[in-house]
Amino acid sequence: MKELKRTKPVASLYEPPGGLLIWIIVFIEFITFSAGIIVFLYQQQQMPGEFAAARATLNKTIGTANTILLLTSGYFMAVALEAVRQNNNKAAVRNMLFTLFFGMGFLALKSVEYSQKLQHGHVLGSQPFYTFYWLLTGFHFVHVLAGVVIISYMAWAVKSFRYNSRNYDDLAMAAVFWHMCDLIWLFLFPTIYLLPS
Amino acid sequence: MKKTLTVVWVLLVLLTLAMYGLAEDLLRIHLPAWVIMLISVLKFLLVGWFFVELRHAHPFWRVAFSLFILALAVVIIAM
Repeated sequence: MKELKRTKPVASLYEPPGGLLIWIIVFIEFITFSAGIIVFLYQQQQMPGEFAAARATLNKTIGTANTILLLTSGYFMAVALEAVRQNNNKAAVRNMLFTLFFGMGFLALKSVEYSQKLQHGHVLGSQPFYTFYWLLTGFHFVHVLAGVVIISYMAWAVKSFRYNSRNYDDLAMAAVFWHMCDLIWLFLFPTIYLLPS
Repeated sequence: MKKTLTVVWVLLVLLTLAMYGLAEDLLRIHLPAWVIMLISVLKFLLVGWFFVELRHAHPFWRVAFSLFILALAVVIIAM
């Protein structure tokens, strides 16, 4: 008798991780931030000297630390989702608290950077570079803030056993939103802080 | 699963530190801007594949995600 071949189940086109709705949002956000980055780079071509001088005033160490904070929070969120899939809500809550800790660390460090910029008079509209800096990073900051609120609520819901291995769609959606903040920063950071003019 | 995620996280942190080293010239290696963007694309794909779990998704999402980021990286390098 012929042995049946084991085949991997094919993932549905209409069921990406977190659901279709969040991916519509993710791509709209990607397109919005990409448009901002392209306009930023176009302006940089028009005034390379001014942009290079302004970029030199940015603190790359803070930017790098912030990247690591976001990546670490994303790691804990991925681990938390996996824990819920295994019905280990206690471990999931613990990992979500770590996610929030590192996410809030990002917000705190970014706030320190913002206060330094304000002290030096680098406000919105002071220079073209700083107009883009505030708009792009500020818009991203708001997304991370929204993510912290969403993850906080989800942590409470997981603690209350509203989610388990058979019902975790909302949590998966929240996780994708959180990773989206991470993904956007992965391109904002090198474009604004690192690339030579 | 957790072990895989941990390995990916370590890799992401190392790549971030390498980018910092290249940008601050700490590594004494003068590499062009496209190398920084290449590392960014790699980090983006690692987060997408493993943290967002796109590696288990339908090929359409994997291709759309990858093409989008590659297109953006090409535009950034070209500008």
